[in-house]
Amino acid sequence: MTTAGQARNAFPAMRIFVFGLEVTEDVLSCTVNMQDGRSPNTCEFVLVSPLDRYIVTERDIHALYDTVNLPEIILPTAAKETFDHSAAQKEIGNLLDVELKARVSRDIQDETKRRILRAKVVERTPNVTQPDINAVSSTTTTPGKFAAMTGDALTYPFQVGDCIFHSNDAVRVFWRDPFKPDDWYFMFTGFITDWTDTVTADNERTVTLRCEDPSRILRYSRFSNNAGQFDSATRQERDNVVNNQANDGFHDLNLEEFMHTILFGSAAAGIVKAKQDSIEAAGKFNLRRVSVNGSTTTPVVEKGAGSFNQSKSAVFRFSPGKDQNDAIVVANNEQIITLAAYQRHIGHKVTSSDLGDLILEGKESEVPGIATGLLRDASGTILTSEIIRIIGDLPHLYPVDNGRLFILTPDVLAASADREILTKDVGGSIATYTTWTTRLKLIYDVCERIDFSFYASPKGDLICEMPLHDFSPQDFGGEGGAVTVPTKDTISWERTFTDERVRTVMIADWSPLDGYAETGGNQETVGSLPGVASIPHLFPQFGVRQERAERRAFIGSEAAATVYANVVLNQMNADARSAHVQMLPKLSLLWPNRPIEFTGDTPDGYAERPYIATTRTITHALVWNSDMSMSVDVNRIRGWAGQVDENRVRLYEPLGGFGGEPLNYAILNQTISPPASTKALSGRDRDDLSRIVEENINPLDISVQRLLSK
Amino acid sequence: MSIDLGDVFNSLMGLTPGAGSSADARAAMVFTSTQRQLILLDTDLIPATKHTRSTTGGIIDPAREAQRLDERNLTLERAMPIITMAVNPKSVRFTQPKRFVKKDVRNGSVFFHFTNSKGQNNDILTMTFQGNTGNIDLGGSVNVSERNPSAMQSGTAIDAQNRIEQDTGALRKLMVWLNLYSLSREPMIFTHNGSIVENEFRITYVSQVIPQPIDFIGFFSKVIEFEENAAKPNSRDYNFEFTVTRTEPDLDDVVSHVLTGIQQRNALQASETATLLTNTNGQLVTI
Repeated sequence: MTTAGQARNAFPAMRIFVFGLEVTEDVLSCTVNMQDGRSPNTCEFVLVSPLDRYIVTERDIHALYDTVNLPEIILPTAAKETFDHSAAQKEIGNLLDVELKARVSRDIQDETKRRILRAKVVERTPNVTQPDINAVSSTTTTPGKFAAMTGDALTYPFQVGDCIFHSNDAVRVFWRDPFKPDDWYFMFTGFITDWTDTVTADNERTVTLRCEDPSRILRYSRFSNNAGQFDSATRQERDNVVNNQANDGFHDLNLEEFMHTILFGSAAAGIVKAKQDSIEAAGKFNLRRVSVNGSTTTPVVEKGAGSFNQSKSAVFRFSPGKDQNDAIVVANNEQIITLAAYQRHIGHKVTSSDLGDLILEGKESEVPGIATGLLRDASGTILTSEIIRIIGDLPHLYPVDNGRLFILTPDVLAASADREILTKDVGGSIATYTTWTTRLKLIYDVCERIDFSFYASPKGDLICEMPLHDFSPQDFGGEGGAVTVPTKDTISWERTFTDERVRTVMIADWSPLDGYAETGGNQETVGSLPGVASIPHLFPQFGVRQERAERRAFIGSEAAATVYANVVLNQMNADARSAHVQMLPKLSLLWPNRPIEFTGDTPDGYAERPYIATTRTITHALVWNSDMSMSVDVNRIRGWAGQVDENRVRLYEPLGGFGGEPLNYAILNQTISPPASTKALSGRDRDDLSRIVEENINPLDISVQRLLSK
Repeated sequence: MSIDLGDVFNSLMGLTPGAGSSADARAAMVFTSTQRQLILLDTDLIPATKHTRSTTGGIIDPAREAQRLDERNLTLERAMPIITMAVNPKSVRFTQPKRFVKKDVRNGSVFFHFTNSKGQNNDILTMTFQGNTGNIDLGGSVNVSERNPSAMQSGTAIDAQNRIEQDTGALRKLMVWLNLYSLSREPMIFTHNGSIVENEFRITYVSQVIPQPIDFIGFFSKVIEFEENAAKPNSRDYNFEFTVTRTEPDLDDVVSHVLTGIQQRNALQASETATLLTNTNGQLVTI
């Protein structure tokens, strides 16, 4: 016999769309991985490929390009792949397109493959110039100007054995909450990156597709920061994608300005323009998006990266004490907001508002049936299945790279320290010599410096947020992301303490002038002291473990250096206590940098290892008809040492107690107010201790009574 | 779809109902495959219907085909495009497990039900057939062609009648069984007109619990299994499994349709009973 609630039913379901085509019925398994490290999030799913449904076969190539059946179209050499752009050749191209589409419709038997090939086979990028290195004669000592072959390049080339999906094909993955079948969640948004075609001895054919989130665009978008001081020869004309708007580095930019500049380009960012008048005007180019259900062409800012949605982006300033539903709009999409309201705004549960939030600007009217033709329930609400179908089917109207940028920063850093010490002085500025890097690396560098997290959400939005490790799930008002996990939802865990990760003192240098550090000078040269952060509470146990913070930015004041020392000390100690937990799938928990509480509740009322930790990596796996599970890697574990708040709710403390974390964002923002004593039960005043115990400890707890009697 | 399968079988066998016990179809079962249907079409006897049939992929009307085969005297040709069970299996077992997985957690268990678009967690339906060929001793049987009046012109009518009465149906049963065996060995894919075609196997089935004809479409999970046993010199025990990937019409619709029919019939009977129990003034009569 089982107690009520011990045996539960769950109903997994998922829907996956690639290039606007739903492939759900062929999915064997799907794994989603979210983290806030230095790489994009990933998703991997395995498709059965009956009769090579997802692979181009020789039969397909014959069906497409066999010239025997193309008597009217005389193709020039290699013209199947590239065409001259003369009017005559264009006409040939048009004729060929008609013929190719007809062939696909007639000769490709599998409907899935037919739909993909029909959409892709005629897509070309016009006026591509390809230097012909074969033009160099072997007898020529100095190569002349290479003969160029100009024409249309196939956007989606096919070769025998290739997957019919290509890199950068749009992918949307939705899962149903197995415990609340009404609720569906965005689980992943991104692009196809890799594929593997597997054929076994038993002729079992599967295709594994791997995907990365939209932030991968930034990885391939190069950036020359502060170019020209030492090696002006390597300017952007050598690299078409290099942006020179930031030749003066990021001096004088705070985090928001930096993020907007790097994503949307300097001129588009606007906020930069007032400071850098010499910035060139924002150019635009047309970006064509294709799916099996149509295509769109829209202008995209040339100097930005990708085509993220600037107009719907927002900066949130976290301020405690606001009503959970309250958000005070400051200006330019800047809002003062609570964590609950913030999480609600960026959440990944599928709702009807997604149809308006995620659509390409100005394309609302192009969604079939958007006005009246959508399936609704009796109350008139659009069915969730309909929302998923529209967003999944129409990636040319709901692009996966049309996400918004959401930034969450603290409204204040401390009473005496403006937040800009963190987001500007420490976060900003960089080396004075030229570095060739990528936009994504720059973002990671800046965020890492100030302990911020940068990642793409399951919905495809880019998130740049302050550390949330000091807060509790309750601060998020029950919204997804930060959750409480009861014992019955856990399967197994490993919790580790690593002594080597503990430091107790951190020193951060600063210098009065930018570039001064590169000459070997620091604050001591001008008779000042470095910034210091220390944790005396840990000295008795670990001693003085001093470390000098790596200088990764220009820090121009002792106050900024002290903040930086605290940030680095926090980062260093974060991994001292970590855990890996296998648990039941909680689809709302798909966010890194979120506090998660393991209650450890037991039938006898005594919690078994309760703690709050911060999510770093979350992995959801669904193997159809076999398994559905998730695992979470957490760090910054906060345990319970006996303290409760005025509502008798447990106060979880970091390593060494509240005094063990000088820079505590929760205390800073007054979401928690621990007593002055950092260890209630270690107080020396026995009367006081007795009072605390009397107020907070169950008097029937014999073990505590016994402890007190000693 | 409304086909009297008993008549179909009889016409396929070239018999009239009641002509012999071994020729009667005891349960309505017809087997075929895409490949056999296409081979039939490739004889090009009915060009006008060729395109329609190849695109719809539906089963060929057995009655019509039987008539056509009769015209060509092809009733017992080596490869039967449509196989009717000459001796029905002694049992047909329908097995359909549920798709769920039990996962133990720290304080209890969770059952993950993997459901389809209807919310059902039904797994794949498997049909298991078990039976005996019946008497396949050809010594006691006569060739069907000898039953054909045109083939018996040399003998007297009485001789012909005697020979028919001696017919045990062994030849027909053996050929049907061998065709079924051959069907279970057919490839899953084959090339037709330059294209790779998936070979779908199809069982048209009618029984007391499924009175409406339904097509079970799928594949043989194994080649027919049989045993040569000295204790049964003139017959063979056999069994095979058939994995159903879909049905036409939907099995749920068929069951629902049958239930509706039963309910309507019950309602009608109740109405008739009520009528009988009312007097001339329309008042209920107490019995």
